[in-house]
Amino acid sequence: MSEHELEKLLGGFAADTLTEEERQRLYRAALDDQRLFDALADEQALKDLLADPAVRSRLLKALRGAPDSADGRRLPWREWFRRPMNLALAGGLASAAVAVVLGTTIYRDSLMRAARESPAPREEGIVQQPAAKAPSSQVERQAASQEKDIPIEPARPDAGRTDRRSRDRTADPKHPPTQPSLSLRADTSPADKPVGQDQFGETHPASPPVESAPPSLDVTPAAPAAGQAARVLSARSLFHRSSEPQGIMSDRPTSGHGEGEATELRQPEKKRLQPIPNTLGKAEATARGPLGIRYSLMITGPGGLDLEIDPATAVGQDDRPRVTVQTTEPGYLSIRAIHGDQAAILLPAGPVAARTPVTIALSPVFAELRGVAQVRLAVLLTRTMHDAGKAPPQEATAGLMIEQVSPESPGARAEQAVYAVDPRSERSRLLVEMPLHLRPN
Amino acid sequence: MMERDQVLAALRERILAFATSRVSRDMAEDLTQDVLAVLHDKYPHVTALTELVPLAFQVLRFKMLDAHRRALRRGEYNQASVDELPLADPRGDPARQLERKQAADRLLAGVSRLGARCRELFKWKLEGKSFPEIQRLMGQRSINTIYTWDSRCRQQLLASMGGSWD
Repeated sequence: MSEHELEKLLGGFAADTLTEEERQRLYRAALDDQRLFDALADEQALKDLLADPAVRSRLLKALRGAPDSADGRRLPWREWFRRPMNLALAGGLASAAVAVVLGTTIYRDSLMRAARESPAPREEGIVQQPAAKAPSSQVERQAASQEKDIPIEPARPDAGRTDRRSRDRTADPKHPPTQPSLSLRADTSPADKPVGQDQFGETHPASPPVESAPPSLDVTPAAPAAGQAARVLSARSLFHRSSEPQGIMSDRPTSGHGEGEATELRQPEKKRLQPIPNTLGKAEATARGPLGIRYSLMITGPGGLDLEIDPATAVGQDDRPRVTVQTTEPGYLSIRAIHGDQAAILLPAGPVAARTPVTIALSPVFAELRGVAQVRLAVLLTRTMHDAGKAPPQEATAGLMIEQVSPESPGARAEQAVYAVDPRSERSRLLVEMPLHLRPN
Repeated sequence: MMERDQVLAALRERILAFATSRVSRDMAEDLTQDVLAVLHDKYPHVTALTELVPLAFQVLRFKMLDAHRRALRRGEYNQASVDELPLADPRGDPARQLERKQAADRLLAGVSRLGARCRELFKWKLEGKSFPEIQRLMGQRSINTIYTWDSRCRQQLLASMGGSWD
């Protein structure tokens, strides 16, 4: 008798499910096999128990009411939780749900934070290339001049997340607090400057008469380092904080001067960051924020892609260099290239909307200031047309907060730009000088 | 077809060997003699193998239980003849009824500790289903799997009851 046959007969013995023929075989085998006989004798007790209808009924009732029946009956929910596997499953699902909720919350918070801290809009597809370290620049010297009248503001939590490569260059020992004085006599009037298309075929508007008087720009020796209070707030964070809504404000100066519109070469950028339209039609803002600009140097890289590079990088005409400027406030923007007593107007004073990138081609620099290795770009931002019509200030605005941002800095966003913000919101004009290194072709 | 005497002779040999494995040799011989005496005296009409063998198992079990009970109660074996003890209907004995009830309770407790598969298999067996029917209910291709499961389940149940069905 095979092992399975024996198991079958033994299994049916106690439950009394054997047929007559099976019983015959089983008992005959038991008389010949002592082990089988012993097994049957042991099973006799169970057979006697199960032969009792009362015991059998109790057993069946208990088995049919068993909590985890395998015939598909629904189990009580409390019994379901008694199983370790079910407990593990419930725990895993609960953990996953908590993780999803937390993740969603954190992601939403990060989006909101990123929206608050987002840098100036940049064109899609721009490839960032780390540029060589800039030499000591006029920007840095200008930063060194900030010393006085900087309000003490509490540190913002998000201020530490931005690049602090030049958070406060006034404290940089490599930049001495004193710099030689530079003087500029711009004897070129806007009328003398070419009006038309630049080398990119983009139109430059006619220059308004605001530059009729030769500007004179003097850069005084830089001031000592700024106080500690200025370091807690970076220029970049101040720039973007000032870009947040501040009540009823006009984003566009409405008293523009007609043909003197600013040259805005990069319309997609402008569209992306189109500010709230001025619904009041007022030229002046009812609430004034600090004046500040963000500027970056762009060239045309391989494949025709625009590259934002370190502003201290030497550029040639074949790079098709451009400078992009954004402002914190609506106002009037003008840009001049200065070398010694020579000056070239790149952008006549014209209205500009807040946070709207204005890109200026630098081709006139190569055309009008031939052979020079370095020029300064004087970027003047005024709140009113009246201020724009005045003679340009002789020197760069003192007390500016200047910060250069590069993508290689930890936590920095993909941008190569310089932020220069005047923390004093009562100022009506802001003059920032940007050094521009030229490479002979 | 085995004759009754042949069956009884074979039974005597098996019963003696079985009893010897559980009790002393002398007591085993006494138990064997007692079982055969009951079969001979009280059940002379039972001749079929399929009836005589299970009857012998039943008588043997009762005799062993009685002997065990007396040994526990008195510390020694009762010298009185067990032939006079009633064997046909054990339900009349309150002590046996109590033992039976306790055994049933232990069996219920043991069954409740079995796994789902064993409980299902045990239930279907109590419902009178054959192994082929159980095979279909459990969705198994091989009936040998059912035999193996049943054997293991009975071993688990026996172990959960302390190694004895009684």
